[in-house]
Amino acid sequence: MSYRRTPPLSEEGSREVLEELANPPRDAPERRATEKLVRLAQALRERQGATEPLGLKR
Amino acid sequence: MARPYFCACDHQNLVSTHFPYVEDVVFRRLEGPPDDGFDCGRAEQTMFLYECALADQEAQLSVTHLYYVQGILGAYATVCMDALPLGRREREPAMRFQEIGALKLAQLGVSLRFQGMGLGRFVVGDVISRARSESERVGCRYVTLDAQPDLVGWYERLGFQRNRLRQDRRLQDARANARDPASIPVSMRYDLRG
Repeated sequence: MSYRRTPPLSEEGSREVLEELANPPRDAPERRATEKLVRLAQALRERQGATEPLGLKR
Repeated sequence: MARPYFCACDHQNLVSTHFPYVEDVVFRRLEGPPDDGFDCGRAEQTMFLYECALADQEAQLSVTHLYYVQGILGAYATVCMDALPLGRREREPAMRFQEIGALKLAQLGVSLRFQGMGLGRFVVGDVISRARSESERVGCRYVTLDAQPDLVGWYERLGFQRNRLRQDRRLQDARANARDPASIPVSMRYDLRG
């Protein structure tokens, strides 16, 4: 019988994601700046009528 | 009223008489062979746009978005679905999910002529915006990507963080295959909840 041992994923990394899932991300200047760009992009798409999320509309 | 710059920093509201303005960007979806002359300074990303993007899109593996600036192809972003795995052994018993839904920014290229103007940051912001919209239709918690090692700091300044989950396995694979761990892409994520 043969089997392949799958190496465990990072325990620390899993815990980090689990904590994130339970709580919103921490406020940080980097995120605030990016969120400002997110709003700019969203507003521009709305003005151009290009709001289909994944661009599936031809 | 001042038109907004790409940059979301202190000089965002400065009045300027020259490019770049956010309003100069026009969104397009890749519908045929891309315009000639695009070069982002990274052979792999430039080649992907010309040789793989359309075929992958027709195979429904990914979708490529184009960003025109004043009529010139300034940048592109290719996205596909993804899932961030949680370690089985490390998962808490109450956790019902093995993977967390995500949208992957698979490729990003900014033309050399528009680099340093904030267009790349704007494109990433647009991808996050679209992922957030999409998360209202299907579960999607993250934007993920594989960053070239020299771009990790750039993505961190946008609020991305490293995926230790995936990266540990990649590092193990790299060592097992005698590859230089410092050269492999770095898995990163951006939490869409906010």
